[in-house]
Amino acid sequence: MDYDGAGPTHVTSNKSINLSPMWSPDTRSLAFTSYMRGYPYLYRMFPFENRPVQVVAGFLGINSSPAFSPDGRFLAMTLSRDGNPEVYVLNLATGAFRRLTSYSGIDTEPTWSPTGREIAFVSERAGGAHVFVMDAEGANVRRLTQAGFNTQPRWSPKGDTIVFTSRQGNFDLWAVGPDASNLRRLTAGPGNNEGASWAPNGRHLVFQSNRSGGYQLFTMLADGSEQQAIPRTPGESTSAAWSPRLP
Amino acid sequence: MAQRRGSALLIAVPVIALSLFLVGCPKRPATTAASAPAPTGSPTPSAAAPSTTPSPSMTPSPAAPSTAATTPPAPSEFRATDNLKDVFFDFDKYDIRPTDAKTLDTNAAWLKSNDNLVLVEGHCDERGTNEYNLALGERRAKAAMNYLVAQGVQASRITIISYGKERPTCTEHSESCWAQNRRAHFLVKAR
Repeated sequence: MDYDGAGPTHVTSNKSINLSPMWSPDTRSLAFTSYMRGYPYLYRMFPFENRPVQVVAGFLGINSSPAFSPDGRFLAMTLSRDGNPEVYVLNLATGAFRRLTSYSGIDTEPTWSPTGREIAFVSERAGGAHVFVMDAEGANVRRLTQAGFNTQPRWSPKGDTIVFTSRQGNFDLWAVGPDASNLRRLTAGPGNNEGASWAPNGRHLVFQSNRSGGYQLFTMLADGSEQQAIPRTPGESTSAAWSPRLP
Repeated sequence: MAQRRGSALLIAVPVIALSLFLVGCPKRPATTAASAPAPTGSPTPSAAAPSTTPSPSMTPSPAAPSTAATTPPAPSEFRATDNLKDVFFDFDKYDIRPTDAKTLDTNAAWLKSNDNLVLVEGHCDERGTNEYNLALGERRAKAAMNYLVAQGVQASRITIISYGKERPTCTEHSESCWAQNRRAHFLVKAR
């Protein structure tokens, strides 16, 4: 749909569970997790082109949390093919997978910095879910969050901020610098406020909130002000992904 | 979808469509699966072949795995049984609690005298992201599987599955309801 809620259109019609849509930087394709074959594989679709859906990752276990690199050459994701959820990067040209994390618990939800040199992700390696940053080769891991249950990091287009969802009572949106500085709260209720996605201009965010009952989408400025509901579509809406600028 | 020049689009998951599907198809779960024993540290790609024939409109990308080390049975081939009871977990945890260990002991005893294949589903409550809960659900299923294996159930009989928070048994927004959803559920399939 458009950013003002106009023109909502189905892009999947497989009668299955479809999760975690993520745009490619050229806006030609979407990566997403689907159970359309019974198992949660990662797929890539081309919503504006007459091209078949591609299987991107179909390993045993979970294939989830897709995130395109800024240059569109790589796709970060979570796979559990080696026994537990880890962050991997797929070279889309060669098909080669590279494992970036190695921890016996959960590592998931990668998001690229706009330079493509770093990846933020969620790990429970410090006890509970926290946001970490590593370089794109998996080294130099640093912890960004200290309190709460923290998930869904999203790196800003300008590179200076990582927005994430934190549970400290309710779920709310917070922001922090990639060097763990300037931690600040963006929302404080009502209800839960989760799952932010940056507008390509880096000035706005879209997120989901159940402040009015069921989940619907809202937008706000990057400092948390000017929160506005996007007109409701039938049912609830979650997991918004704001596209890059269209050509 | 109409493409608008100079603007941007939002893609979001319509939850109502998902809910309708789940209500309509309770016996044909769409699932996550990792076949047991789970590989550890394997440098070799172990891609799962699709459990169903790909539709003509779907093709593997050049990067898609094309061979399977182990192809798990289709989740829809498994059936619930009153002989295997659910076990439950604390929020954001996947440890087997002492009271649930007794349940798993009983489940293991039944499985050792009944030579079925087993599907262990891992589930979460509605809080948190889809992505994190997919991972958490898998850890819960694997914890239950590991306990059964330690009790003498062959690992090769077990397939683990994560539904994340996508298939709750209780849909109210309360702790008592969430506690029912944080579970490992067991289904069986004749060999």
